[in-house]
Amino acid sequence: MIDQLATNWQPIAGPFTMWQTLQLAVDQAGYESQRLAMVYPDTRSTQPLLMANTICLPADQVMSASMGMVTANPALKVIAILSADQLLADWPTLQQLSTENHNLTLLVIDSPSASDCINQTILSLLSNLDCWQARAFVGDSLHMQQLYQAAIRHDGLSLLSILVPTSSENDLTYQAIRSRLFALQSDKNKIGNWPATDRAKAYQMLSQPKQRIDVGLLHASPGRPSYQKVLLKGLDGALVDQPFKTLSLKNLLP
Amino acid sequence: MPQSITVVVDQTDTISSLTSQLLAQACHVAGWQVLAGPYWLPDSFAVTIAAQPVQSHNSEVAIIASQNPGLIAAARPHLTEQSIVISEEIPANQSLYNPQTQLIPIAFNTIARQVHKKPVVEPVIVGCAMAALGLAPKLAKNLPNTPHIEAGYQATVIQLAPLKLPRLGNKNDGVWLSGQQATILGLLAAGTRYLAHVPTTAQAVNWLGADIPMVANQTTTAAQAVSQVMGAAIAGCRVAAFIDQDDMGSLLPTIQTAIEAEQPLVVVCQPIRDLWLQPSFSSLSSLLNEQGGLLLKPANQQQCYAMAQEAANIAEQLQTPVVISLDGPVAYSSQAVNNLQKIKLTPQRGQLLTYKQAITQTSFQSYKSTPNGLSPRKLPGQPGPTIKVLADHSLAAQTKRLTKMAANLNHPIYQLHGPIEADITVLCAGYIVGPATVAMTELKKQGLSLNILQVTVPYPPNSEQILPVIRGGRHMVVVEAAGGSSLATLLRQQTGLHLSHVLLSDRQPQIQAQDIINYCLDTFTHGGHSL
Repeated sequence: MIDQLATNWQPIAGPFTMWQTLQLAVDQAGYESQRLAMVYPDTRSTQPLLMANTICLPADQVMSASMGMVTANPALKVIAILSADQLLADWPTLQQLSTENHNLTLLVIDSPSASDCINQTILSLLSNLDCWQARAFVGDSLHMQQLYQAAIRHDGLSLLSILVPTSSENDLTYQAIRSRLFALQSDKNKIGNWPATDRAKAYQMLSQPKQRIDVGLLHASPGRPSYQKVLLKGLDGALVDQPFKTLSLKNLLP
Repeated sequence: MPQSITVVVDQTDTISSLTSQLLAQACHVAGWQVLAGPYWLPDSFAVTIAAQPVQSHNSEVAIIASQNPGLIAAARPHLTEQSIVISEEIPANQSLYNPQTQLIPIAFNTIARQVHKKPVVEPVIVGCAMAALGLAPKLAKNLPNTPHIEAGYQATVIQLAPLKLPRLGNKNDGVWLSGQQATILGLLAAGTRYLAHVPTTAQAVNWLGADIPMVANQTTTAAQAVSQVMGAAIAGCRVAAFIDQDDMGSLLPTIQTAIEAEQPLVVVCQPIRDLWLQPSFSSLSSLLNEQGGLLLKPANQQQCYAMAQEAANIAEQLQTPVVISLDGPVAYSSQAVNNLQKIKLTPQRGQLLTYKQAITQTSFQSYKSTPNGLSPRKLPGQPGPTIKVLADHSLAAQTKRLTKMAANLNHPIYQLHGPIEADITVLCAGYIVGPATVAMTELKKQGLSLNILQVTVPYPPNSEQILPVIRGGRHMVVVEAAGGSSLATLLRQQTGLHLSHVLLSDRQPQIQAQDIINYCLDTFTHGGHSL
């Protein structure tokens, strides 16, 4: 069904394919719906079609609230959904998420036009973030599913941009993007020749003017522990699991 | 020997004074009851000491130690014959001072440079003030920059006759806390485990020890802080945001979301300037009144500690944000708070479902309409149906929230201080309780009885509670500082009564005990005959 939608493109197909594929990826990753939390902006016309806890908030609160949720309960898998504009509007929070490496997945809905498939401003800003970053095209559901799984399983901040043509001329856009796609990794388990661990080099190559649109893993910083992993060690358990009793003054005073 | 002595020193930066903190701690170690905090002269802080707990600073300045000629000049009308003035140089208009006033020139900066190549003036001034108070420099042995304090003391003690104050033998056992610190401590004691704050409130938060079981996260804006803690609240954590009062305007949409999504969180706000201004919170109060929410206003450090615990409980019981508004003189004043151990509230988690209750749920019911407006609260990660958090703007949802507030808010909204019956009842909120308490003591000596009705929960209004008290009073006086007649207006709205005796200090933003005393004597005594 997904393949059929991908080849006979309609405006509704983008979001629908996104949620269907994400559900498959989440199921394969072994997350129960109770442990999965989708945080999305109230400006979205449709809510995520997913078996998960759903938190609908104003767009400028989505990233901060997601950070609070996963910090309070690291057992949750929190996935925040934003448009590229909404993501960049809260740049300080995004930087904090990246710097501290919060265990959060950001799905960024990028709706390009036929003439401008890759927004160079966004690309240059994202090059400043030291986190797991990838790009998928909604028309290639199998590849997108692989990247979903990798993003969800990543321990730390993972930022997955999804190219979703949604304009009225979307069929044109869809064809324009599809014809120029270039998979950076031929094998999902291998980085290949792409310098994914060298952020400066990777973004230098991405920003070079060219016809092709690179999809796949753009950047990863292996070995960085997530903020929540470090926090769990320090606190001896999640914040929500801390003993809920009145502490004595002796414990509290510096 | 006066009941209390006020020492005025320089304000170090826009909101604090290292000098006053160091001096206050030396006085605290000496066994005095101490209040250290903002003073109403420009760019000044004060340390007031007494044998009994201190409610407010005096209008009369017993000692002033300052390197600011402007402050010295401004303090002159408030000096007495016994006052001591310690300044960098003898004041230029020396003839205007009372001949009995001791004018002591101390080269603070020169002394500081002699002690260390990196001159620190504040501890030198502390040493000078300690000499004037007759306190031995050994009392400052645990304070930083002890050599500076010792040098200031030695330079001063040879020039003056110190004030004759009775010695107190025992060290004060209270915990030395500012209003900010007491509030955070109260939140922690109540089980708050996630605190987000803005850079301007970082100093208060960073005071905490490193080993506490809490995350303290600094954000760029207040809206981010509240959004973060809302996320943590959705996950089931007790949370608080510590923000700057000036951010309140931009924060309203975020607080509205928390109210509409029925998420329990505590927002502590404090001023970073205009320390004496009591904000009217007109926009916030409208939001709290119309949508459901609560604002608490503590009067001193002890109340900060207690109300922070109450706020954490109320937020979860009512599933709504609770705002704690700290006046500048409360937030930035410090004193030893006794018997903190006795202020222990058992955490109440309201309608939060247990694991066993959650597993029996067949559908998500957190916004379900109920007779008392309270619905079961389910967390992500619990078994059973998944949750759907949503800021619901609909009329039905608003009605549910207001029903919840009306049916369950049984928290007392006022505290009565002083005798149950009195000639005059002063209605006030926040730091003004301090000056009003001093006025109560002074007016009693002059034959007028006064009690204080402290409005602890200005919003939402509760006319059922407040009306009988106001109707029972003989003469009511609303006392509030400049910044708007919010309390007087609110009380009129709540009760329908026109409280004719409203005292607003329009010449200066701050209220002093003497203002209340003068007003009461002028208004309620006729030809020397009290009421």
